[in-house]
Amino acid sequence: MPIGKDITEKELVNKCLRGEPLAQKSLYDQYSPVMYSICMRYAKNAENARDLLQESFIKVFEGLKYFRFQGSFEGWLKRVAVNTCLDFNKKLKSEPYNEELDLHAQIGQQETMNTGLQAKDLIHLLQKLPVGYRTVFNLYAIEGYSHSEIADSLGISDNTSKTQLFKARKLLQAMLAELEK
Amino acid sequence: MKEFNELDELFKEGLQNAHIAPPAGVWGTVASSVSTASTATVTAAAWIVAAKLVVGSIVAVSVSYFAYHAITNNQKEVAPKEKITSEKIAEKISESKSLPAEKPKTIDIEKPIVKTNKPEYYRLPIGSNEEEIAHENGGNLPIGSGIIPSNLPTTPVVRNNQPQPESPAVKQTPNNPVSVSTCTHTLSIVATKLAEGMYSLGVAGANGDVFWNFDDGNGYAVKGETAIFNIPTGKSGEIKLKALCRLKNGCKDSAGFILNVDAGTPEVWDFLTPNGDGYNDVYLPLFQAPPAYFDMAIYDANNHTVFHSDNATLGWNGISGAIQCHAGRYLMVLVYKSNASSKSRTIRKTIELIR
Repeated sequence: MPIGKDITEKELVNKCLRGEPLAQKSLYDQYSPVMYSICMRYAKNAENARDLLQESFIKVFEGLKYFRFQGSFEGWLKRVAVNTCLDFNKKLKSEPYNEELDLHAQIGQQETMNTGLQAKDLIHLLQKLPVGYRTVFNLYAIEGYSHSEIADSLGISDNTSKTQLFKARKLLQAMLAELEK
Repeated sequence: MKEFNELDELFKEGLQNAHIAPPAGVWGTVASSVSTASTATVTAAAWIVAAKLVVGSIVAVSVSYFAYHAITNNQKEVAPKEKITSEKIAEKISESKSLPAEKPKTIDIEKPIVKTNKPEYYRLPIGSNEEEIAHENGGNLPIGSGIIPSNLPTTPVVRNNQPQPESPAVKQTPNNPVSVSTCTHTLSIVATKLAEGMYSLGVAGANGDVFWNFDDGNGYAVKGETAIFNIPTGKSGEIKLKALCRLKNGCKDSAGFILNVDAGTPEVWDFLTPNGDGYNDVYLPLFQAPPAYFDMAIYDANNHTVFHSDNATLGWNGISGAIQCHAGRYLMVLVYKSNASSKSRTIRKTIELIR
């Protein structure tokens, strides 16, 4: 029997805990779009985002039995996704935090997109940032973390966090300006 | 050229609650991983049960074998050494012929006392009173380490010298002595942060069943070499996580891990709709745990304070004093400390009161 849309969050979680495949699929269907958008924001490309989404959901299903319905379920899911992305980005040693960007060459592909930026368009811009800039910008501007929290989380100094944010903003400004031409 | 704050807003508004359809095929991999994990768990459990059955069978057969030999040997030693000679047989026959038929008499021969050397079984309670037993035994469970020899039970339960298969009892036999000197501290906890407020726990050095105490008043209620711990909502400060392991050699070992609960960064929204529908009626930042310091003020466009709270559970419902505030934009300023030793942090946010 398919899982109806009127099922409560708690019922859905309990069904998942009982190992009901339909409920697990339903939970995935319901929350994967918002989690995928997070993964897309932090990842370098769609391929990485796909892997991160997959890893996030595996963690979710493993940890579901300990969720006690005392906070926002969606908030908990988002945090799992963000932390999975941060762990992944920390491992990216091939792309240093101070990587320079060949801005002009990359923006050339986006010239047709000049008005009415959609989520996917914004994500494309973010994905063009070096991993360090992208991570700090995401954490600060979208998640609302402070520099000291970002520094703690990423194992960098407050000043590095501020510098990364500044550079990220400058690059994004330049990219948007190019698009508006 | 956009200003930095406009840029931030553009991305935040566009992406904070964005939904993007994931590519096909992800669910298939996730589902197979989830089912593999379940199957692996079941398989592992089945193997453990099977192993226990095999070991139990071997022990039972061994005990029966030795008991049988003990009985045989004792019977040989204790049985009356009455020598039956041909003369005695002839005498008995003549007596039977001379006497009227009567019910044959049975000769009472004292039953030999059979000493089977059966082991004594002690019941060591597990679960909520495990710690009490540990303390009674003279050991303790300090955070960090603790070795509790289990050969000194305070209240041994012996039931007719029979084994109690339902009890996870520690067996103490002459062939399997439990010695204090064999107990060595080997256990340590390995904790990995999976997500905010969620930790994966494991033990290193375990050689038997592991029980977890999550400092929630339920004692050692969780069993397993690995466990996932979620910080309960409302819990703050230090959480003492403990693991207790019953070792195969009869010892118990413990390890502890102190988790300093941090309220984390609150989730804040940019609107409230106090219409009594149960959704967003009250504006209140959401923390992972009670913050060490909380001070939230709401200001109107004229910079007048319309609401103030220093209680992290008390939010703004769109009313100032007894007056219902009009719809529009307000400024929220939140100052908080996520834990007692952290710096105070400030969040400023424009919020929309919608009526």
